[in-house]
Amino acid sequence: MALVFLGAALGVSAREALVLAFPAGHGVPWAVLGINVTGSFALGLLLDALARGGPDRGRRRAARLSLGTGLIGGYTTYSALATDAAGLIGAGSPGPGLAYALATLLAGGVATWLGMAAATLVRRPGAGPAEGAGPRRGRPRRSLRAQITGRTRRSPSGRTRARSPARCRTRAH
Amino acid sequence: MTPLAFVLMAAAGGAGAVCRLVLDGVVRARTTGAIPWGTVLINLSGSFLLGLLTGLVGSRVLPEALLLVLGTGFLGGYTTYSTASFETVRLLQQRRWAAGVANGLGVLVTATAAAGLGLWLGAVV
Repeated sequence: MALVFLGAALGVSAREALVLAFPAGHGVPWAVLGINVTGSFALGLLLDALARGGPDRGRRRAARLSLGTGLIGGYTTYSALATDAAGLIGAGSPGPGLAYALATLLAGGVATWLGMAAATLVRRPGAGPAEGAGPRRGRPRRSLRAQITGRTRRSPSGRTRARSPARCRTRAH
Repeated sequence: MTPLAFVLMAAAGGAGAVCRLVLDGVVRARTTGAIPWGTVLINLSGSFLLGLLTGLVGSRVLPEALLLVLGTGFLGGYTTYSTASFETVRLLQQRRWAAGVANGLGVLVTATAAAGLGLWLGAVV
C-alpha cells in the first residue's frame, strides 16, 4: 500500500507538472494525451518485462505495485481524458473532442503494444513464465513475432489460440 | 498554486491509487470472465465524478482548489489509462475481439458520456 501511495503521489505530481508546462492548445489537452500514451508504453514494457522475469513475488511484485499500480497508474488518467473530451463535445467542438479521444485510444494501444514488444528486447527471448519455476531450459525459443502476437502453433484450421506471454490474470495497475 | 496545495494534490493522488488497488481487488474477487470489470468500474466512476466536480466548480458551487486536490489528485490517481490500454491490448492479443473492443472503445465512449452527464449535473445543480 505504501508503495502504491508513494508511487502514485509522484506520478500525479509529474502529470500536473507536465500539464502546467504544456497547456491545452485550441482546447485540446496535448499534455494529457502525451502522458497517457507514454504511460501506456511504460506500463506495457514494465508488466511484460516483469512477467518474463518470473513469478509475481518479492521484488518483482514490489516493482509492479510501486511502478505500475503507483507511478504509472497515478501518472496516467482516464477521468481527465473523458472529462476533457466530453467538455469539448459539449462546448460545440465535437470534432476535436472525438478526435482527441480516438487518438488517445489508438496511440495508447499502439504504445502499449510497442512497450510489450520492447520487453522482449529487455528480457531473454523464451525466458521464464509468469508463474512457476522460472526460466525453462531446453524449450525451443519462441520467435519474436510469436512473442509479440502471443501466437505459437497453428491449429489445423489455421487459427491459433493465442497465449499471452504472461499467464497470470492482470492486476490493477 | 501553493506548495501546500501541491503536496495535498500528491497525497490525494496516492490515496486515489490505493483506493484503485483495493477496489480492483474486491471486484476481481467477485467477478469472472475476460473483461477486467475492476478497471472498468474505476474508470467509469472516476470519469463521472470528475465531470461532476468540474461542473460544480464551473458553476461556482465548489472552490477551484478542490478541483486540483480531488480532481487532478484523487481522481487522477484513482483512474488509470495505462492499465485500461494494457488490458485492451491483452484481450486483442488473445483474439477476444468483442471483449477487446468493448474494453477499449466501449469503455471510452461510456466514460465520456458519464463525464458529460457529470458536467451537466454539476452545472444545473
